[in-house]
Amino acid sequence: MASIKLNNICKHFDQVEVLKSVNIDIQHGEFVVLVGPSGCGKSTLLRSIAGLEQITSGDIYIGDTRVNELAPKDRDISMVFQSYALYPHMSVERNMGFSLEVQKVPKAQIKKAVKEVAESLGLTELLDRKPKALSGGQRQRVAMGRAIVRDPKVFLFDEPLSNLDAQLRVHMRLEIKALHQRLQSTIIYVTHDQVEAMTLADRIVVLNGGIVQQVGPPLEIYDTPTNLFVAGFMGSPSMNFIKTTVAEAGGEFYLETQTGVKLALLHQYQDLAVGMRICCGIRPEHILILNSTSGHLQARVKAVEPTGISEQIYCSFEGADLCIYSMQRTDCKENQSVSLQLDLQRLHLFCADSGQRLQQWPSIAENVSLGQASASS
Amino acid sequence: MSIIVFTNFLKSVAHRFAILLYLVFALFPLYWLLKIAVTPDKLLYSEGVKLWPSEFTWVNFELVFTQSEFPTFFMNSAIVSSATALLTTLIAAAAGYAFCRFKFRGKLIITGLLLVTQMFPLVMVLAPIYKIMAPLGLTNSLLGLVIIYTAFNVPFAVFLMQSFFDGIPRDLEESAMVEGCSRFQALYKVIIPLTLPGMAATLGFVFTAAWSEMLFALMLISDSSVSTFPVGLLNFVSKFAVQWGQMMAAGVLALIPACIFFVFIQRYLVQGLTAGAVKG
Repeated sequence: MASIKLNNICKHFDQVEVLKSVNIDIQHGEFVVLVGPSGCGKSTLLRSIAGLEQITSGDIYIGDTRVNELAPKDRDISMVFQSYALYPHMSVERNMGFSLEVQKVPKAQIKKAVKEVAESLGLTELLDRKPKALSGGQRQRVAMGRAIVRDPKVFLFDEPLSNLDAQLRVHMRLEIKALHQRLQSTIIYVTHDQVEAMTLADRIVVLNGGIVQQVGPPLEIYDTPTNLFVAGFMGSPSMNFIKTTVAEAGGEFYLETQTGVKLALLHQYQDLAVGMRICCGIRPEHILILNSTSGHLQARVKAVEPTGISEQIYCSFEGADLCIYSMQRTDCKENQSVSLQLDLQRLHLFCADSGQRLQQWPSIAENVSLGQASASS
Repeated sequence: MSIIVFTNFLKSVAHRFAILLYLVFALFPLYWLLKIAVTPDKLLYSEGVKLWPSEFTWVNFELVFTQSEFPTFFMNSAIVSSATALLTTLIAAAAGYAFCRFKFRGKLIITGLLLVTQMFPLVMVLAPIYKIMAPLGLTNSLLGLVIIYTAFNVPFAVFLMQSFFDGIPRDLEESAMVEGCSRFQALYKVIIPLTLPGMAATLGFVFTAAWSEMLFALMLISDSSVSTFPVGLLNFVSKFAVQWGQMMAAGVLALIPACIFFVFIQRYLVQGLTAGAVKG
C-alpha cells in the first residue's frame, strides 16, 4: 500500500495538450475513481502513473519515491486493462503467476500464491484453461487475480468493466468493491460510467479536457457540483438546465426564465446583479409532476420512458428538454401539458458565462447541505 | 424441404468440382514433371503425348544422383535458402516490430524507400549489383547470394511481419512491462511466442523465393561447385541435346524439400496468413 501524489502533471502529444497541470493527492488505501468523457485524459493520466506514458512535466510520487524516471516494472504497481490483456499462449495459472515468474520466485511459492488467489476469486477450476476458453467475466476475474498475486503497492484499473454486459458489470462491480475492502489497497480506477464512479469510489476525480474539474466524495460531487460540466456529467439521467436571468423586485432578487416565469428568491446567493445570466440546474428527481396547474412551470410531454421501477418523462420547456424522474407511474401521455413543481431548495445555480457554481452565504450553504444530507439519509 | 436439401447438395458438388478443376490446372505441370522423370529416354519422343508412359524407370533419378553435380547444387540451394530465410526473418521481425511499435524520425521516409525497392524490375539492377559484388569477392560465393537474396526479400518480409505485430494488442506487452518485464523481456516472453505463425509464414515465403531464384544466381555464379539447383538445371541442356529425363528428375527432387518445409509450417502458415485479416 502507498499514497500517490501527482504534482502539476502535464502531458503533450505533439501539439495537443492532453493533461493540464493535474494535482491530486491520493491517500494509501483510498479508492479513487477518475471519471470523464472520452478523450478527457483519464486513461493517459492512469498510464502516466503506470509509467506507460512519459509525462511532459510535473512529478509523480508513489509513497515517498519520485517515479518519473522509473520503468513501469520498477513502480510496484499492477494494472487491469480494459481488454484484460491476458497472454493467450499461457494457461490461467501461468497468466496469474507471470509477474512472480519474471521475478524468479521459486515455482512452489508461485503455485501457492496463485492457488490462494484463485480460491478467493473462484478460479480454481479454471487454472489449466487458456484465456480463449473463458467467458468475459472469468477473463476479467483472471486479470484481477493476476494483479492481486503480485501484491503491489497500487492497483490501477483502466475501464475494466466496459466490455461486460450490464448484469455482469453490476456483479463485478460488487466484487471489486469487496476486493478493496478485503485488501485495503490503494486503487485508481478509470471509467466513463458515472454509476461505477459513484458506487465504487471513496473519492471521485472529474476530468474534462485534461483539467481536473472537481475532486471529492461521490455524494459531495453529486450534491454540490462545482461547475456546469460536473453538474451535467455526474448523474443519470443528467441534470436539467434552464436559462434564466437575475431580476429584482422589492429589494429581493429572483430568477426569471426567458418567457418571464419567476422561479426563486435568491437571498442566499452572493455576488448577484440584475441582468446576470444564470443557468439554473435541477436534478430529474427533484421535479414533481402535479395534477393541478399550480406548479412552477408548464411544459409539454415529449416522451415517456417507463423502466418498471420508475418512469423518465421528457418534457419541452422554452425550447429545452427537461427530464423528470418519477418513482410513481404518472400516466403522462405525449403532447400532454403538465405542471411541474421544482424543489427550490435543490436548485443548482451556475453563472452562465463562467460556468461556475454561484457561491452561497456560508451559513445558508451549511443549512442546505445539512438538509440534503438528512434528505438522502 | 427436399428441394432445399437438393439445392445445397448441388451447391456443394459444384463447389468441390470447381476446386478440383483448379487443382488439376495448378498441379498438372508438376504431374508432367514427374511423368517425364519416370519415362525412359527412348519413349520420350516415340510414344507421343500419353498421360502415363508404357514403361517406367528410375534411371533418370539414378543418373542425377550418380553422374551429375546435382547433390552439390542441391546442398548449395539448401544452404543459401535456409540462411536467407533465417536472416531475412530475423531482420524483418526486428524491423517490423520497430515500425509497428515505435515512433521515430524518418519512419515514413524509410517505409517509402522500402516500397520503392519493390518497384524496379530486377533486370535493371543486375549490372550495378555485379559491379558492387565483384570487387568485394562476393561473386562465385554462396555468401554473396545470401546477401543479395536477403536484401531483396527484406522489404516485403518487413511489411509482412509488421502486419503480424499490428495484430497483437499493445496491451499485452504493456501488461507484461507493468508486471515486471523490461521491453525486451516482454518481447521474447509474450510477443515472440504470439508471432511464431507470422515468422513461419515469412520463413516459408522467403525460403521458396530463394529456393527458386535464378536470375541473380545465373549472373553471380559461374563456378558449378557453388551453383544453386535452378542454375544447375541448365547443365542438363548441352549444345546438342537436352536431357529432359534427368532435368525433370532433378526438378522432382528439388520439389521435395520445399514440400517437406511446407508440411511442417502449413499449420502456422494458414494461421499466420489469416491472423492479420480477421480480428479474433
